[in-house]
Amino acid sequence: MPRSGAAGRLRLAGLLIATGLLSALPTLFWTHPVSFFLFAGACGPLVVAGMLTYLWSGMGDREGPDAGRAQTARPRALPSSPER
Amino acid sequence: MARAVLILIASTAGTVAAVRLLGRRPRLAESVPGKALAFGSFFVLPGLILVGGTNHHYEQAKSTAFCLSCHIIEPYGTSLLIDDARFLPAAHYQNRRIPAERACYACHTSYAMFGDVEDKIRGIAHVWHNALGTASDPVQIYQPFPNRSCLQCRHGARSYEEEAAHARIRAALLEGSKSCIMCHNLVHEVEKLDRFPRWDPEARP
Repeated sequence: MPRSGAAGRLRLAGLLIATGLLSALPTLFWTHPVSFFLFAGACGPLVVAGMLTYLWSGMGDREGPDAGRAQTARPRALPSSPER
Repeated sequence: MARAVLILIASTAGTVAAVRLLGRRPRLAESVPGKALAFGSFFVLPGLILVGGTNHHYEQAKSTAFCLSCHIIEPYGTSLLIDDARFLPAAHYQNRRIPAERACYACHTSYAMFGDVEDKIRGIAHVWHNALGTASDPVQIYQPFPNRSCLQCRHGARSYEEEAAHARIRAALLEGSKSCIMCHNLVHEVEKLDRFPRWDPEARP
């Protein structure tokens, strides 16, 4: 079953965040400069990418047959002003 | 520190569990409680864990073990164990005038508003040079050792103020026109380490 749209992006966000956080755990126990580089250069960007993907999935909720209706719907006519 | 790591591990486990649940069943995230759970587990908690993890690494980078984990710095760690009170770093380390777990950081950081940040940026450059093999051996400090690093602890201390040699040049030491290292000139001396006996912290009478 293809995973597309917001649900797919949510899954991708989950994968990125879980991978980033789980790979960050070992670096907390390793007192070495390389550990910091791994945390800042690999784990951090993975988590941030996941967070951004989650935000993107929230924006994707508007996709679908009704997408953009709010923007394209004609505005209601304003009540006519009383004649003077 | 251990408590902070435990909190980070617990938060990570909670976030991973929630992320896994919502990743497998995205429809859960459509209800209001589900949206709140998703926002917490996909955005708030990972963000907090990143901030906490960065802080943990930042604090860890101040430890003596962190500095001595680089091969090029090992002799400087050994110099802290010279059994001779004339050696400045050894006397400071062995008598706990500086915190043993932050021995390098206590003297080799700039104590100004952005001193920590400057040192971390320099630290990244150190790792880069170490990885490429372009680091100077023995290592060189960037500038003459500033009196400020000594006086932040010693200024006002009775043992410092009542010393006649210090009293004569107090103003010059404060303004930096005379250096503490001019007199206290036995520092790490890594080239001569083999000539001096070592102190064994475990061998207590």
